[in-house]
Parts: sequence; structure tokens; C-alpha cells
Amino acid sequence: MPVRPRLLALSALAPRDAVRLVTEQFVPRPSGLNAQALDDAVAWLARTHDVTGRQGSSKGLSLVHGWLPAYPETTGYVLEVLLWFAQRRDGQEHLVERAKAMADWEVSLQEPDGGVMEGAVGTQPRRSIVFNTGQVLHGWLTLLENGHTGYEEAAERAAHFLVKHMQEDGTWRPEVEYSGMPHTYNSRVAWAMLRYARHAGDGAVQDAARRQLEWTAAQQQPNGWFRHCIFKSGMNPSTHGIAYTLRGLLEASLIADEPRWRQAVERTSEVLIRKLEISERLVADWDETWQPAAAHSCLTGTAQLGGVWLRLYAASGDARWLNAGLKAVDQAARHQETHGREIKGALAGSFPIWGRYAPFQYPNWATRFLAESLMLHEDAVAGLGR
Amino acid sequence: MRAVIVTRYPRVDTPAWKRRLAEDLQDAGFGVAALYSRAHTIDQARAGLKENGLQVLKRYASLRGGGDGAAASTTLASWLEERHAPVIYARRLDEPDALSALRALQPDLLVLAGADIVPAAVIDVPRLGTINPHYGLLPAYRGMNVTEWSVFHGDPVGVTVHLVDAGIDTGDILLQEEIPVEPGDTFERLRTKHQEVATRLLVDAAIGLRDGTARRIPQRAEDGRQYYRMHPVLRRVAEARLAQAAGRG
Repeated sequence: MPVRPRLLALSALAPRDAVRLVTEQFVPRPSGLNAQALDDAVAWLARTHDVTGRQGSSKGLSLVHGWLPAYPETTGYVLEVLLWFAQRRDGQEHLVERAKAMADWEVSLQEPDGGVMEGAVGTQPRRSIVFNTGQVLHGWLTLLENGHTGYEEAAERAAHFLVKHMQEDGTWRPEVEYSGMPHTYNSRVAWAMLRYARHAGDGAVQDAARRQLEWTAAQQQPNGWFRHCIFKSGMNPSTHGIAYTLRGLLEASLIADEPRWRQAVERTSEVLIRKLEISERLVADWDETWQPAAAHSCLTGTAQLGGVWLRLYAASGDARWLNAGLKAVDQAARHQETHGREIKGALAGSFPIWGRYAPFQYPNWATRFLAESLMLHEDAVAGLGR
Repeated sequence: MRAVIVTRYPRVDTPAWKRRLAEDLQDAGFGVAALYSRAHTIDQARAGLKENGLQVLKRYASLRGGGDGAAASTTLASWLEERHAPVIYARRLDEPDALSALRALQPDLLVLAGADIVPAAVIDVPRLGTINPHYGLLPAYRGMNVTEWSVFHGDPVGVTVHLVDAGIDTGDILLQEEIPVEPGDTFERLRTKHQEVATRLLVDAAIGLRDGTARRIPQRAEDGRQYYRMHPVLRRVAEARLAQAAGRG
């Protein structure tokens, strides 16, 4: 889409969201998902691959700047969604080929030290970042676990990079950290490390992962709020970072059979499902007393939390998590674009679209997490019939 | 001995069970009054629209009475006023004038009957405490839609009358009664049954507190879970399970 139509779209979408902000106060929330939601989300993710000439998944579409460069970090977990979708629908082998093409591209970009670069393609100077390395490791592992070979060496190098730069307390050295600070959302990296350790039988990687997870669990306050759950200093934790943290802890608890980490997830989740109930729209940011610190919603975070709670339900059988998960996924999916050649199927960064999180953008990771949560939603609802 | 019924929406407060509650409390020897919170019309309309969509107009009409030629129903407020019983109206329960008026009544007991969340300043007023009917069996089922959640899990349904504390449905249990699911029951019919049982248990609990014979069973936080409004997908499951239990499925 050339610049002018994009700006026209922007000028239509902003008023649309302004109207929605008003009507959400009065109009009953529609229940039920668009039957095409998942297919449309995956189709859009495939488009993010096409626009880069099939060199990774584009960071996303900016209504101001157009399609953004390919982004190694998020390509790492976008490819997982393509693979999972292909496994549940007939005739989607082309998505498996795309997933492999993305994984091969990641291998070609892997840094000499085994890590994955910060930022999108073109970022200078290039340096390896822990979180990004972990996300690409997830992608390679998902292919390996599904019988696709050729990623063993890349996965090993990534896992060993992560072990090499970890400090005694379970955090990583500042020079390989985003913003030079430790983050609880690196529990998602530890999760990838546990997956690797399980796949390769690597005890050193497993031990390092556990150190990170113990550090993360230790950052939780009695009220469920996590210290160091921010991307940069001076921020409050967002639902995006909180959801990363919780998902990492939860999946790690299942792999490592460590109930304390799952209990930590439940402690924070009890707070958030109450917030979801009272406010009906989860805002993006929360201060240390769980007061809202933003007016906008981070749609990625809402979709991710839906996925966390659906996974928590699968792990615990507690239908309250199922209830909250369905509501959160509904909430995020409500904002998925259903029209527009370049945006149909995509999820914006924020609601309203001018919100502080990726304003006027459709990040590829927002749609990625929506797609995963839609799949989890599908599975949970199907399970009710059994 | 005075009991103050705390409730809301005075213009549409027509459910017959509340008038029966007031009557039964009077018959038991309590002087009865009412404290109404009455949110601004805009806020009521907003809440009603969100809950019911445009059906809210129909619901409003049915609550006021007069639909289909039926006689307008009596509100609890007008029923009390006809009997010269005090009725306090407030925007918010804890606004200074409402609190002053409540304290002036010197209530021994507050009885919640479809009230807004009651602030601590109000709970602190009555000598014997504040009691609430909860349409679920505590401590297991705290929060919202607990009848539906109980059916969803295949657990018994019933009413608990408890003292109100700072938590949500966490106060000492006074009385509790299971309600059998009978052939043909729907959630609507169960709600009516809950109201009938609640009316009786509230009066029994009030008498027990007045006479010093009430048995208080403390709850532990870890013995129950907080439930929220049920997602429509899960509600359909609960309805199917109720239909099966009630011999309709």
C-alpha cells in the first residue's frame, strides 16, 4: 500500500477507535470469535514473510512508515505458529516450508558467538541479546521436536551462548541484555533452555535455566507484582512483559515439575483476572500496587495473558483460568482487523491505535500471540465437549 | 431492635421477596428501615445497557410493572414509606449525609438485599453486624455466578447467609442450606428458589444474632476460590449440565 492509502487508513482507524472507546462504556461486549480469526491471523503472518522477500518475518506494518524490516527475534516464534497451524489444518504444507525457510534464515544470521542480534535487520552495531537468542531457540526447537532436522548445531550454539554469559545469581551480563538490565521476562529464555536441555540431555543448560527461574520467582512481591518486569528503566510493567514472565515460569514449572513456579503464576494471575473482571478491558501498564498506569491496552499483552490462562487451565483443571482465558482472548480478538488489504487478520499494538505501545503499528508479534491464543482457545473449547 | 435493609435502584426495586423479607423481619419484632444507593441515571443506564443491551428497556418496564396491562408493582421503598418506616436515599452508601442518617437510626443490623459493594464505613455502623445472602455454598464458591459455577462443576447449589467483613464473601458463616435441583429446573427457577430460601435464612440469622444464639463459623481464605461472571461458552455448558441434572437433557 503506498503512503497515501496508509495515511487514509490511519485517518479512518483513529476515529474508529475513538468511537469504540465511547461505545465500550455502553454497548454489551459481543461474545464469540470471528470464525475466520485464526486463519486470517496466520494469513497475515505469511504476508509478513512475503514482504521481506521471504527473508524472515517483517517486524510489522507501520501506518506511517510502511512495512518494517525483518526481525530475527520475533521471526523465531512466528515460525512456531505457522508450524502449529499447519498441524491442525489440512493442506497447509506450504506453511511448514515457510517455517523452515524462516529457521534457515535465522541460522544464516546467527552471530559468531551463537547469539541472535538485537533489533531488526539493519540495526547497527550488531550485538547478541539474550532474549532474542531465547526466542529463536524456541523456533529451532519446535522444528526439531517435530522431526525437522538441520537446526541442532544452531540450537546448541545458542544454548551455550546463554550459559556462557549467565551470572551466578541467574541474571545475564548487562552487555548481552536489552537496556543493560536484568528482566523477569527472560523466564521465556529459561523455558527455551529447559526445552533444549530436555532435547539434548544437557545438564549445564538445565542448571543455568533453573538459576534464572529461581531469580525470577524471587522478584515476585507478596501482592504478585514482579520487580524487574520492565523493558527500560522508568517504566511500569506492562501486560506484555508480565505475560512473558508468567508464561516462562508456567511452562518451566511443567517441564521441571516445579510447582512453586506455577504457584507464582497463579498468585499474579489472581490479581489480573480480578482486574479483567472489574475493568472489562485490561490496560497496558500497572504500578507496584496494581493501580493502572496507562489508559491504553497493549493488545499483545491481552492476547498473551489469554494464552497464559488457557495453559494454566490445561495444567491445573481450574475452570476459573479457562473463564479468564476465554475472556482475554475475546478481548484481544475483538480488535483484530477484518478488512484492509494489508491489515486484514492483523492485531494492532494498542487499543486505541494511538496508544503508547507500538502506536499506529501492527507488530508481527501481536498477531503471532493472538494466533497462538486462538489455537489454545480452540483446543480448550473443544475439550469442553469431551 | 432495628434492621436496615441495604439495597439499590429504588424506582425499580419491585421484587416481591424483598417486601416479604421486610414483612418477616417486622413479624420477628424488628423495626425495619431501608438504605438505598441510587447511582446517577446515566450510570444506571450505562450499566443496564452493558448488561442487557436494548433489552434493558424491557427489563426496566417489567420491573416497574405496567407491562402487558399488569398493575404496577410496589417497590420496597414505597411499601416501607406507606408504613412510615424510614427510607434513606443516597448516591453513594458512604456519602456523609447517608452515613449520618444511618447512624441516627442506630441500626442493630444491616441486611444486604442486592446492594452495591458496601464500604467499611457503613459495615462499621450496626451493633450486631451486617449480613448478606450469598447464592452459593461457602467457603468453596465465592464471588459471582456461583450457582452457575456450582452446576458447572457438578456441585450442590444453595444459599449461605454470612456476616460481611472486608473481604468478598469471606465473613463468618451463620446459616447455610442446600437447594435440591428438581425436574424442570432452569437457572431462572433456581434463582427464585434461592430468593425464597435467602429470605427465610436472613430472618433466622437476624433472630439468632439478636438473641445471641447464632453460631458463627469462620472461613479460611484457602478454603474457597473467587469466581467471576461466567463466559457465555461456559454458561452454555452449565445450562446443558443443569438440563441433564434436572431431567430435561
